[in-house]
Amino acid sequence: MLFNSLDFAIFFPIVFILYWLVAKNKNYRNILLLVSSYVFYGWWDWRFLLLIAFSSLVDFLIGQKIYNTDNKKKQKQYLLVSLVVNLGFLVYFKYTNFFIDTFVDSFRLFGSELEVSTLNIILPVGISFYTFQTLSYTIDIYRKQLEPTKDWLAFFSFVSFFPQLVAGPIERASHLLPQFYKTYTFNYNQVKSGLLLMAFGLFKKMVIADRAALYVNEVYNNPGGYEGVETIMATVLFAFQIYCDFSGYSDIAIGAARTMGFDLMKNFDSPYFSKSITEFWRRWHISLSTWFRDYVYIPLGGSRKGKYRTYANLFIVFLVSGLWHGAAMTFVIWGVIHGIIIVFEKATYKIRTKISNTLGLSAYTFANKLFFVIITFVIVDFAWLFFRANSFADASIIIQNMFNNNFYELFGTDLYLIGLKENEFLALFLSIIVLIGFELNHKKYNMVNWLNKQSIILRWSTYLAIAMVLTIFGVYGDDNVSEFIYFQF
Amino acid sequence: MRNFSVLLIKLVILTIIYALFLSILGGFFISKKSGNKTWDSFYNQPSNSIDLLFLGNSHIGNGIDLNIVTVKTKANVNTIYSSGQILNQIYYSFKETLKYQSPKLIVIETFAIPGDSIYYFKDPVKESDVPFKAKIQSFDSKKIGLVKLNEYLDIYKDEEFLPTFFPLIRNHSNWNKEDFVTNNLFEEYNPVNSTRFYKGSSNSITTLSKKRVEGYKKKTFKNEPFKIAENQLEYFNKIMELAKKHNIEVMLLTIPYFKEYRNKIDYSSFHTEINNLALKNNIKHLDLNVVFPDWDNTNFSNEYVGYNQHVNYKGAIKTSNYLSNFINTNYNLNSNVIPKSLPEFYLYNDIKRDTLKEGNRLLGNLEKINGTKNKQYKIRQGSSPLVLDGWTAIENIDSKNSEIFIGLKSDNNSIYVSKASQFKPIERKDVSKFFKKENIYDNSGFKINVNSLLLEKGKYKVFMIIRNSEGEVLVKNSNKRIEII
Repeated sequence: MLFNSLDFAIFFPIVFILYWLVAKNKNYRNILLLVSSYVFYGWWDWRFLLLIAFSSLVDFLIGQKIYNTDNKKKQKQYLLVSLVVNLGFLVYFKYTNFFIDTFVDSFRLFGSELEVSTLNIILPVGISFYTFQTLSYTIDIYRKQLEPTKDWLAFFSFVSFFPQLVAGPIERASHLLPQFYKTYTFNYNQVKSGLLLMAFGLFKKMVIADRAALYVNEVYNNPGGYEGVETIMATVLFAFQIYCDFSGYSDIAIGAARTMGFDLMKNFDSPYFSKSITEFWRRWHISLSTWFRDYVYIPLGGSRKGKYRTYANLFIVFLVSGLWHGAAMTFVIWGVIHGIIIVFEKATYKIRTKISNTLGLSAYTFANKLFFVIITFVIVDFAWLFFRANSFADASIIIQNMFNNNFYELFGTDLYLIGLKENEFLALFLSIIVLIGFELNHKKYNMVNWLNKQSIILRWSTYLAIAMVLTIFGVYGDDNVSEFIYFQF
Repeated sequence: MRNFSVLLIKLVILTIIYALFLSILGGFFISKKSGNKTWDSFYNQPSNSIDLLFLGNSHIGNGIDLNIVTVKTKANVNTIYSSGQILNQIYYSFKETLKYQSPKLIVIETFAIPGDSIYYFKDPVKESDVPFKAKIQSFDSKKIGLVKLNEYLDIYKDEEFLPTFFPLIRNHSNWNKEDFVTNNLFEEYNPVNSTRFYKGSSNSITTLSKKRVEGYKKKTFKNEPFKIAENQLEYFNKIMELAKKHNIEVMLLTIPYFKEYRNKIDYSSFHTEINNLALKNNIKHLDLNVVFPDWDNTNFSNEYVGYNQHVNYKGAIKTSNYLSNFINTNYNLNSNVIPKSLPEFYLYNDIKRDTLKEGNRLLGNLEKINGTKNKQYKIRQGSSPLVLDGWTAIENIDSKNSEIFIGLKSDNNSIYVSKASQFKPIERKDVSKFFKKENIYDNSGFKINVNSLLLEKGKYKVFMIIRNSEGEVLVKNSNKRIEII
């Protein structure tokens, strides 16, 4: 079920009302959450439910087994079973065809043709997200950072919690699972803030991301047909598309959970205001970055085993992160680019600081900050090019064509023939400006608090205006409903 | 839980206000087609003022000119039609009209009576498969009420609820069409809007091209006996019951088919089936295919070769004249409407009116016919279009809000009144300057382009006609003559 669908618009209010009617009874509430989450997930394909139920069951049992034995070897074996089951599903559903293709391609490099056909495998939505979530549970128990739960209902609800099931935030059991043991009382302001956050998420998704997609898809699906400013525009718009798509989803997820009293972790923190790639990764998809930090980077040795090993570990993390995002070379290249830049930033940090000090450049001036924000955005956006391109060959064509000079088009009307009309461009840019303004100010002034202090007329007018903007300027309808980009990962 | 209840109540109120906003704004996002305009026109009529009501789909909309019927029957006439409409929708439309009007006669065009297939003589299409866009035009324009609700419950699918009741949701992306919403707003609130005299008349001014005629010759159509769909027959019976209850006479009318099509289908079975239906219900059926069996392509619009072709304005002039005489002979509408706002009223009745009550005269000059200033102009039918240049205005009245027409009246009483789509405004500052009236005649210029194939052969007098914002019409003979040979 998509958040931006009529199905969800009917589903969510029903769940919300029922939830608060049974909220005082923990078991009833968890039953409701489990059933509604399974309905939500099964809406795509009921067969996916077998997978998630099996995965939940395995981790629930293994968590207890690990905890109940003091035998280190047995603990390791149990953990291995959990890893094999969870990663096995992930690898099978997500990477089988990628490995087959890569295998065939590598033979082709040596002049031999292999007759191996790919398998017809449907990728279960959000498998990468809930797999990582359940893995963190068993790993944390293995590390003795968490006690296993005996409440299977709470655990199954935790794994399948519908707001964040298919595209995160990837929650840790230590943070989310205890919230299923509590009972909640209805908090009016919390619910309101959750609803507003959901509306803001929908704005990002429907008004910005999906409109930008109309232009981006046209260019990226016909890479040979566009050049210069057309491809640059598409690449810049993709940066906003993917941010608004993904952070929009996170906002709706966090907001929906908040309306039911749950607190999900922050997943984005205005990442395009970052002044370095290192900072970018502290602000982008925070739940995944911290997951990789805790369960890949640190087990590899982190920064404890010397400079070069640190660089290698960082690089590996980003390589794996690229692969996590998708089974294609373009995602691997995207990860590699980020890995290289992160290593470069780490390796040159001291010398760059020294040069800045020698030149008397203050890191705190507006010009300096702006300069690095722009540089970071350009690098991130260049990497997005690979992320979005349908293939490596397409990415090469786009990069080549990008340097053909047709900047005069910025002052003409040719751009308006590519997926978006002139007034659609205008609406898109205005929406992006609203978004930037909101992100710049939200940290200083809490918009929800500000709104709460206004008169009823202004408050209700704002709510209605939000609803009308979504209705009129949102991209939806039979031909336009688009899934969230991160569902595929 | 008090807070929970408070929140729910607030959300419900907010949702209701939101739904109201959606409903109010929805109309401005609709691309208004003839079907919507006929309803707008209908609701603008004083209650219980309509004598004669036409019901059907695009074939009645294109096949009859209501201005002519109004003038010739002296009745207040209206059409309710929308493209693709069939009997079940017509039933609800008829029901809705009875809330406001009590017509003496309703005329149902028979192309709206479907056989096995809702679009007969094509492969079967089930009633439930009627495309949404074919149902929604008429529905959109109806006022909210029980009839509308029942129509939804009867005809629409569950998943069509939102797009049906909230056209803004369905048409939201129309905001990106340049000036679309503002034009709709302007149209709605401008007292001199272009539809104020619109009742659903034929506006088609194209003629079926020879290429498309060839297309008809090559195309095959389903040639099986026609039988009215049983479910639709039930709706017909319901219409008859309603009509009987309200003491309304019913007539069936079949608009002419293009003969290349008619000859390829089992038309006689259709004719017989409809005749039997009329006989069974003791009503009349006028089949204009019998009256006009040999119409050529110039009487039909130049649309894609689908199945039945729409009649154009040239054909509609003939059907409307014949139908009016038929109604006058067979029905007693007992009305004496004087349609002073229709140019046809003056031409058909030979009424000379070139001065307003207040004494303001019609000024103007038909300066050129196809670029020449000759008083007599001869043209071979179909050789080239007729382009009429000139200016006309009402003395001392700003020409900005006036509508300009050209009327052509032949010696054998064939009358043609130009349509809005044939009119191109021309700025004429020189006219204002000549009369020393600052700017008021700037909008008096016109260029009217008439396809000569739309005119019957004969000698025509040319009239300049103007209608002011109050709907008053002035007519003046230009003293120029055109001969179509």
